[in-house]
Amino acid sequence: MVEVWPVYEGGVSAVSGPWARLSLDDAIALFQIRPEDFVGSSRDAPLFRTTDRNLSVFGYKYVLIMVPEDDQRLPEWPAGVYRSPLQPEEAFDIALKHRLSDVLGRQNVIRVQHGYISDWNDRSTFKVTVVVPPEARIAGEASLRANTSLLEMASTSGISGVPTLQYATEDELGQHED
Amino acid sequence: MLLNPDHLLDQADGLVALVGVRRRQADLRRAMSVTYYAIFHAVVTDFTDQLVGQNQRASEQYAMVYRSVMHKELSSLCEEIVKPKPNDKIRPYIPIGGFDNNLVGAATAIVALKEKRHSADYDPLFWVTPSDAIATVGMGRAALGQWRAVPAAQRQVFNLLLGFR
Repeated sequence: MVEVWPVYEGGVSAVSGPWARLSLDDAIALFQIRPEDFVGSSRDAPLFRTTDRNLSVFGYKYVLIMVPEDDQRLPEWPAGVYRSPLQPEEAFDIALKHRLSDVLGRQNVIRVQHGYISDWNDRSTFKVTVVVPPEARIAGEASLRANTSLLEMASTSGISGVPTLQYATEDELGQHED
Repeated sequence: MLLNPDHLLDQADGLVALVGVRRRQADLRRAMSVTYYAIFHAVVTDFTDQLVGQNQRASEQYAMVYRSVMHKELSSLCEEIVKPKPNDKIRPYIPIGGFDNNLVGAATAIVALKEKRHSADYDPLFWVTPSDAIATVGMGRAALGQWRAVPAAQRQVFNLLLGFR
């Protein structure tokens, strides 16, 4: 599986985890990489994270796609690092949708949107809204796994706050009166 | 008389049930809050049963221990249990093979539901959708089932961490 990594700028190797793991075909389609976006081999990967970085949730500068040797497709897609043209904000939504669709079922996820919040311990984190079709039935176990996935994502991304996950249909998003 | 977690979830189900009119925010918020308390009371009952004894549930000592569990301490412990790498305070007590998946699931629910409960009870800008309320109550039911499926040895570790770390 290829990995989607958010990257800061700086001189210290990244210690966070990938936003998503997916097939090469999905990575090409979702993160719009092309063969000419090849940056270098995994050994030379510019996974930088500066110690004086902006500590807001999304101070990332780039999104890199790491293709391992097992997934390379020569000669067009050699193993190594590819830089996605997408901005981290957009890539994050795509990674979230991929991750949550795996857990909730693709038929239950129309789209995903995120925002920045503080949790009730005043720690920076993010809020995810999964827009679901009106007929969606999210099983309790699936919702649990979705929350676990988000907590893991936050933890490996160095985000200390507890992310919030909510579900809404398109109609419900437009309602704000009792 | 202890609160019955299943009754609390039944109450939550009733609050989110479709009754032909648009569900009120008061009902949807209350459902979220009640769902958190269902799993909270299930966990605290188990904790107190282990420390004081199930046959002491009518005693003042039981009530004292029951009421000693703080929401923040419980959620902090659960946050660590869910992490791929728990902190140094927890690590020496992690069972061989790691925490049971059911325990991780229940811990996830406690963390997530506590955030929703706070928002539902105190945030004037919090808007609850029926879809979210229904999913939240469902998650609470799943979490209660998972908590009850945690092996006794792992629940003992959890309770000791809750009480003494």
